[in-house]
Amino acid sequence: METLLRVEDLRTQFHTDAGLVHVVDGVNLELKKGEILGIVGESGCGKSVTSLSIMQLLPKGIGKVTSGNISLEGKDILAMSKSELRKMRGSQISMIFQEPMTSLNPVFKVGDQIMEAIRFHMKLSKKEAKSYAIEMLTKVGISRPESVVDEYPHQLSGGMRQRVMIAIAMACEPKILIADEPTTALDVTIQAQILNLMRQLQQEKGTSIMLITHDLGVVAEMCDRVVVMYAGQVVEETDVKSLFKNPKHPYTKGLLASLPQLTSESDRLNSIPGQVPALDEMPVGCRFAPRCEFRMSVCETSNPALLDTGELHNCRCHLYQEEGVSS
Amino acid sequence: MFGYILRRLLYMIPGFIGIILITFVLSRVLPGDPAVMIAGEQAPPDVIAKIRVELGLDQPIYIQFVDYVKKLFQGDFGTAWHTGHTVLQDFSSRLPATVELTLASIFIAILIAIPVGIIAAVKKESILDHISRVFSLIGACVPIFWLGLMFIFLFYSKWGFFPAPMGRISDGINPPTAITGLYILDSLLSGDMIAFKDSLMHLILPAICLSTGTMAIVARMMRSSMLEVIGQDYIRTARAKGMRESKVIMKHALSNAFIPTLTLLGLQFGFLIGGAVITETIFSWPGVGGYITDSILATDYAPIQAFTLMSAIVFSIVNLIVDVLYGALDPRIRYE
Repeated sequence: METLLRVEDLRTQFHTDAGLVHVVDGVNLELKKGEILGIVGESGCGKSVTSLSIMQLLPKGIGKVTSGNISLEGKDILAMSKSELRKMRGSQISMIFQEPMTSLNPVFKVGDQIMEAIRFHMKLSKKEAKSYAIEMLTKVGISRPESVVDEYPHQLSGGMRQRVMIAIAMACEPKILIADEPTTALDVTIQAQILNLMRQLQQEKGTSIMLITHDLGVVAEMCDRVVVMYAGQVVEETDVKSLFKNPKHPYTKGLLASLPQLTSESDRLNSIPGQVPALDEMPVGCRFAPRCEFRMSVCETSNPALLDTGELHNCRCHLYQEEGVSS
Repeated sequence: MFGYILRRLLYMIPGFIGIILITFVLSRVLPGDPAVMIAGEQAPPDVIAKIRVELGLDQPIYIQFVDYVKKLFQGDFGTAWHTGHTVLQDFSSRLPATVELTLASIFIAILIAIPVGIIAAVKKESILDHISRVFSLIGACVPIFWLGLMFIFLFYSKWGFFPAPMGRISDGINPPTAITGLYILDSLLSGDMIAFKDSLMHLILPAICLSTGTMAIVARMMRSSMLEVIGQDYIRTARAKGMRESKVIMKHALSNAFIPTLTLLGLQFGFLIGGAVITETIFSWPGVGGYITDSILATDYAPIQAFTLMSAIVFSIVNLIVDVLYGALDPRIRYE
């Protein structure tokens, strides 16, 4: 499959109270045409920052990409001018966010917010844009779209607002949709509806989706491939089946073990001991070493590289370093 | 909506009754006898007593109050003895000057404070932000009387940029035909450019002087509400749609950030009416403010009471307008 988006050795720096820290530290990603790539990790592991780096929407003066490459169909995003970036955002890559309640501007009509993107990218007239906006609302499963188009966000439920966000994001038929925890703030039945809608649109238009989540259930349901991130780095990358069947990195194993099992005898949930290291106190060696049950002496002194352990299953762990080298 | 406005207008009535009562009682309780002021310090006691009877001051205070309220309802605000005219006559000749000054100040404050607040927020912690902070601090601290005197000293006596601080228009120039009573507007409407230029030059210094406090506070308010809005998720959404940064700020952010600033502008109106009293005195501006200062010095009750009531009415109505505007700016606010 053709690679649409390639992120190479991305390092993104943030100004924090503790000084300058790298929130994303050497991330490599590839998003292929038409696939759904899951990015999984705990809060603060750098998954959202990675997506904002791709969009070049890092908070000004606080976050900055310091090195690496991001290319969209061979074009370097980091070298794009402001106007090139604007043309890319919303038409080539668009984004939906975690909080549908706050992601729409409260003082403008829903329709105007959809039409804004349509008019800017597709150069439609006001009238054409409005009928297209209504068409988009119908597509995302909103009943009575003709009246919703003239309503304000506060008149809609959370699920409906997320549908509106999807309508805005999909309006200009982008090549890539970045969905940053799109269902986290919604209740479970609505979650399933929104995920189904995303998959349906993805199948119709062949859009590639980068689905950022901490919910392994969502990953299993939706994704083709998965990237697991820990403390600003990719620790494992593979297709979704191998991830659940044959997880390699101890962190991934820990994550899967923490999922509640209906068949399990124990009435306590498993959890990974310890905490994610603070950004300004990253261990010298493997970043997961302090919490790892398979820790070896080498883990505390050197950070392993992300290597292919066979069958396109990449893992960043000393347990597999030799396998990686040999394969 | 209409019902809401009507209800708000009705709610104002108890407030106005309270104000009438307080100003009436205060002006009676304060030392100083108008009869003595009218007749003169040396007047014989029987003359003073006669004047007291004429003014109704010999009556018990509650009867004086009832008389006063009765007359108010007939549109009679009493007579200002220090000018010899009825208060209504004095007001109608002086009010346009005060309205012109106040509107000009609000206009200047909005014109400068809103952009300054936006720039300070967008370029947070830049040199522009720091400059605006220093000027806001100065603007909020410097008293009007000092600033007014400095303006006159520098821009009139020292450098002569502006005409003498005497009134609304130079002596040799005819005021424009009265249409609205506002010289600037009237001279424009009647195409009298000489009067326009002269009255504008007379207006600038007092208007800036009166607007500084409001300008400083509005700029700070605009900055802080803008900063809050810029951090909101929907601003990120607008950027993610590919919107131009100027549109993100001027459309998406400003339409939200302006709402708290509007509240402040409404409240500042009261401050401006009060500030006009001082400014008009310094610049010999022939408005209601100077007239009220004279009335206070002359223990002339009627105009003081009328002015207080008028200020309260103007303030209440301006704030009602502000509340109605909320509904227009923020669709989440609806009045039934």
